Amino acid sequence: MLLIPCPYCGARAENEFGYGGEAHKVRPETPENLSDGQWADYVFMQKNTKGTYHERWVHSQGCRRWFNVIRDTLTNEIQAVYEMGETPPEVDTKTYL
Amino acid sequence: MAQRYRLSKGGRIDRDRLIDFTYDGRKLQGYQGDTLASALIANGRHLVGRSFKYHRPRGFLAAGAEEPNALMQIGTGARTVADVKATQVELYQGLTASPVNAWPSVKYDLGAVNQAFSKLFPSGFYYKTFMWPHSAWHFYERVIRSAAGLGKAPDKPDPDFYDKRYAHADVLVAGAGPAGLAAALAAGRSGARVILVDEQPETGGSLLASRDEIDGKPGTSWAEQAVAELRAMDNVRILTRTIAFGYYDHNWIALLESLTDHLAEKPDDVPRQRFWKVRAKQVVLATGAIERPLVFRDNDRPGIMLANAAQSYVNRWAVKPGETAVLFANNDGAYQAALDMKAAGIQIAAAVDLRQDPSGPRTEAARAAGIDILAGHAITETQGGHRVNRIKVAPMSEDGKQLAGSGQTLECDLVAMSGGWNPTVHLHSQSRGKLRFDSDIASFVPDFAVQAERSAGACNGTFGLAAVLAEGETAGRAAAEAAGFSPAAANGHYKAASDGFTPARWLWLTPSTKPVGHGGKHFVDFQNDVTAADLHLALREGYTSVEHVKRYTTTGMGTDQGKTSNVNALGIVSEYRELPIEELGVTTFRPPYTPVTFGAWGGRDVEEFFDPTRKTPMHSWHERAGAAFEDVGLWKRPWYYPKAGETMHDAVQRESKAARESLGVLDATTLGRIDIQGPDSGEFLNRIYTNGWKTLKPGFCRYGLMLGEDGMVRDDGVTACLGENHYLMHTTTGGAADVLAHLEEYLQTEWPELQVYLTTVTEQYATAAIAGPNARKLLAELTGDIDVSPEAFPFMTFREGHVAGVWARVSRISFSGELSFEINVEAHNGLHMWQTIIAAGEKYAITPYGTETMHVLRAEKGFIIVGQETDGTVTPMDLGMEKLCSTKKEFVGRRSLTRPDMLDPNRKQLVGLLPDNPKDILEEGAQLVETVRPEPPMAMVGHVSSSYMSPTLGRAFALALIKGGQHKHGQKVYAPMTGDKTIACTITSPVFFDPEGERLRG
Amino acid sequence: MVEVNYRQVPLAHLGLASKIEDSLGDAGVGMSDRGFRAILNLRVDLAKQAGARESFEKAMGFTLPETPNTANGKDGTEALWLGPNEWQVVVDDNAPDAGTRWLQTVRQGMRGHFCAVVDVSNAQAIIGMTGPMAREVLERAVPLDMHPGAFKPGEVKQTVFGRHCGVIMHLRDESPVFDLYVRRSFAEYVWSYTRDCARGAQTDTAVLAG
Ligand SMILES: [Zn+2]
Repeated sequence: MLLIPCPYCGARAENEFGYGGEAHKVRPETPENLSDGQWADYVFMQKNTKGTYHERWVHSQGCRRWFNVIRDTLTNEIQAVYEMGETPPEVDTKTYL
Repeated sequence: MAQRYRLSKGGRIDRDRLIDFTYDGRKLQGYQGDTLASALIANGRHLVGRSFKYHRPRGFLAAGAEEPNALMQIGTGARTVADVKATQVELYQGLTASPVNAWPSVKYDLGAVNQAFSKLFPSGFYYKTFMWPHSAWHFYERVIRSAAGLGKAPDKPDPDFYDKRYAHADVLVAGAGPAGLAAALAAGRSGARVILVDEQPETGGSLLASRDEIDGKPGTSWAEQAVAELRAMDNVRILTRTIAFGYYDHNWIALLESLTDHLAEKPDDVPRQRFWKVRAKQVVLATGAIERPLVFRDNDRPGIMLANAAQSYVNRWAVKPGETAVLFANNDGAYQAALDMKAAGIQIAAAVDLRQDPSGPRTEAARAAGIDILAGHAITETQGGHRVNRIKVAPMSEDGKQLAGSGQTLECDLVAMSGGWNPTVHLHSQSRGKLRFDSDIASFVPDFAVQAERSAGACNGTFGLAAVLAEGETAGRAAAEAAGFSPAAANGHYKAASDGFTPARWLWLTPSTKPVGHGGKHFVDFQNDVTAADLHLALREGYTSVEHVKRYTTTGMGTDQGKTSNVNALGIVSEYRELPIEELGVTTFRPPYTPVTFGAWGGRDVEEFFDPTRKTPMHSWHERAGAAFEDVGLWKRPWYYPKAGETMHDAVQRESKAARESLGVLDATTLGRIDIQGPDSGEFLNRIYTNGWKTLKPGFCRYGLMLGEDGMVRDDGVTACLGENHYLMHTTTGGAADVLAHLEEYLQTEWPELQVYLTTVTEQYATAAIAGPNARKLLAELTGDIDVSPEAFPFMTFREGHVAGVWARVSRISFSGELSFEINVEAHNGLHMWQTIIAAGEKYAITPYGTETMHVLRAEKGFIIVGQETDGTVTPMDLGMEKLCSTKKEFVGRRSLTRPDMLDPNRKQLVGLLPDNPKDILEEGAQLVETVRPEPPMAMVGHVSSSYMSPTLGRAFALALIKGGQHKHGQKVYAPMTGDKTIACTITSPVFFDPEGERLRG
Repeated sequence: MVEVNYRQVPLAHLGLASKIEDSLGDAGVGMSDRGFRAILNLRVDLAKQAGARESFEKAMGFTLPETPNTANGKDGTEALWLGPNEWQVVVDDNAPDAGTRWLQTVRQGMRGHFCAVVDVSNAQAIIGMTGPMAREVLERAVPLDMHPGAFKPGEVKQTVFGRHCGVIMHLRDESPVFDLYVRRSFAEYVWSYTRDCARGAQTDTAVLAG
């Protein structure tokens, strides 16, 4: 079970949290201007990087706040956490084959 | 003679406490402190099982967790446990045990016939033979299982309970041998919170079985002193009989503590086992090492065991594993076993040493003690039926590949073998720590850690006792420091012997008089009966990667998990492929290190605690009324209220009729409720729901449909406008938490500019829905301050006032199609309200109804239930609800509704179904076809989503989703059922009752 | 119309009143039903709503705790930090209309600020927990570190209790005395689960008053 540092409450066990997938995917302002393909890409596709990945979590059994996590999806190392709307901090980008 | 092989003195046993036990039907005795294994050896029992595939006689290979052969069925009745290693069972009064791998008995094993046909059992045998025809595997599997003898599962419920808990530590130390104790002392003295675990009943690890000294006193005395100091520290928790079996992400370690397995009388108030989930800031692994067998011809006879096991039996349990022993070794350290055995009175016939020029301090000591050393020799053959009684030895060529000259025969009843040591790197590897091959000890050692852990002592490839202690101390200090503590400087070094087990010579496969595979068997994995010839065959057949070899031959599977077999298998593969071991890689170690009971995994989250149960304030009334309950999400909801002698069908027919003809009442407390306030609340609802919200005035309610971005229906419910910029949203019972999360996600991540706050108020209110022609009359009697007349209180509005003497918010909405009011009061008043309604409604024969009747009533009206008519693939258009989708605004999921597959006229659409025979109740989930064929396949056009018998319609009816169904009203579909029955139905509109809604608006 | 008090606490059907003991005795854990309180949920962004801090203090006589995982209060009135813009205001007032009255007080006080104040007095059960084994027992139900050095008096932590059940834990003093706030429908689960945890910790539970 991961230990996730909530930016508000501190480090807590993973079972207090919910997962929200890729971060910084912005909902299009005017979806009707998107092609079917573009819209499907927004709704269904995520980068799902192996390595450093920016993703969203919610502290559902805690402060109920959404926040961003930078996690190495191979090692589960949490490289940074930051609030919604913040610019992602610089981290070493881990990539794997 | 009782305990004939017990030494007259020594050992960590209590000779004043004699213990009776039963083994394979025979009554035997041992002492407190014995394991089942040591007690059996004390009684001269070496034949303790039959091998898995060939049913060869097997004895003890080891003295600890790595034992592959002596698998026992322990106890009887409800508490019986299968496949327990005799070396890990503490002896207790009245224990009963029998070997699992033998039938009908270990001496006369019918399966031994497999041996005669062993050519039929090469690697991949099961895959090759039993996989055709595919459907027959289930038959083969049963026969194989009973022949293999995998033990018996208890046939009664488990009488024990299991504890489960979380724990947190600055430093977790796994293993309480010399390295672990030194680490725990160093960390504990710094003030760090330390958890020290060891699988044994007492701490001390390897010191318990050795005669080594530390600081001039016996190692065991040093260990006792260390533990006494640790016990005196408040910040240290010592767990014995506890195994760290799993190392997961972020230093999350699972421990299994055994509390009652070793007790003769199982106390009622003590859990059998405790499952620990530990989060440790730092971990020190001090898990020791496991001795490696030598791979030689017929190396599996009872009486052939690891040298360290023989030494342990002598030193720790004071039993003689034999009268005349041969040491067969490739390293210096093993000679200590010979010295200890000799000191205990065991005759050492010879030391057969694979090394051409044996040297080293222990070798010299053995030579000085008069032990005959046969240098550059190998055991070429072993003899003996149920116990080894004779071996042949011969000199080898210099390269060790073949024999060089004739040998001799030695009489013996014990062969103590040592092929060196394998560091127990399982936990390090589970933590994703990397391994490297250390050619000095010819085994894998931790390379670097990925998590916050460090290995110390033998598990790190360090073998001299002085170095082990120093490394433990350093690791403990470093761990404490990394966890934020400041350990004081070390107070001097521990004084102990400095030699490891080398010098050694690595020969993975010992030569014999015949080539491998052509005479005798060279076992690599004793538990799974894998031989060197099997490995060679796998390689010849093209399985060259170690992971493939492992799976194809089953090496290292079962409870062994590579403990004794892994490195030998790699060595043999490496020689065959002429590649260095380090280029082969190593198989991955996975949790659990040793088997864990299901009881422990379940912990207390079983039976009544399997899931939380949520109850409404009126629950106790429903129970008293004899309600049957249905699980809806975590809620317990009344399903129906059977009267004496009524079936569910009877009760539901009666309840439905009552609601249509007079008055029914439903506990609707479980609906989700979300308080929404803020200046942008209306805009927020507009974006979340498919329909428009900005025109909704205070005092009014509106039905809303919520989609996911994929355009699929996600939830529905009625939202009331409580005041300016203030709404109360209702969600489905099961969807409440998800909907709130969905809304919060949009507010916090997509639209942070909206000034809206959401608060869950699901549990603030208790709700009773009264429905039926007499609902208004009853409400009028219960309130003094709400005008219930149709003009003053129209459909889809709500009023606040008092009902049953308490504050209430009454909504005139209807999920039954009847005139209906939902009365919401503060939850603390819920039971009072309900009882008042029941009492006042008596004159209308008020009938409480459950979820089943609710379903019948709503289905008659064609009202959907999210999760029943929808399954995540259903759009508003599929449900005929396109009018609820505003064309004037953006909302979540809107764009998806114009994707091409959403516009397909052949999508499954909601319809009603009337079975031709009005008594045929369709099964929910039944598949529907337009053309019936004698047997499948038939083209399926849809499925039944809801199906009931309606007393109002006087017939069965159903809702269904059918391809293009909205344009097929009047057509026939068929539901082929099991047997020859087929139910023919006519497609209709999904609204069966009061299509104009006169009743609910009346 | 006159309000009549017909209220029942969420654990009413367990008949705890008849089981109340004077002291812990040998039990390692004492549990109690804290009964009725006024409980409000307050949402306000103090950073963005200028003067909101002061408005709250003026209305309630103490400041909202802004340090995560803490509580602050005065004279039987306290605010528990739940999140960066969320608090639970708890008043030791068991009058039937306490929730409504305190809702008005806070709403009035916070008028002019964008905020939400919601009465949730009926939505929660408050279970008291004390005794020398209380931390050991709770470590069986929650993944938090319950060690006295990790969970200190005055702290408030939300977490998951058992399976899927949210809980707000407020440590009132080091003896220890905990207030556990759970949603009312889960109250019986939490009560029974805690008793089973005590069994696992090989200790007993006593039912204490208030
Ligand atoms: Zn948080």
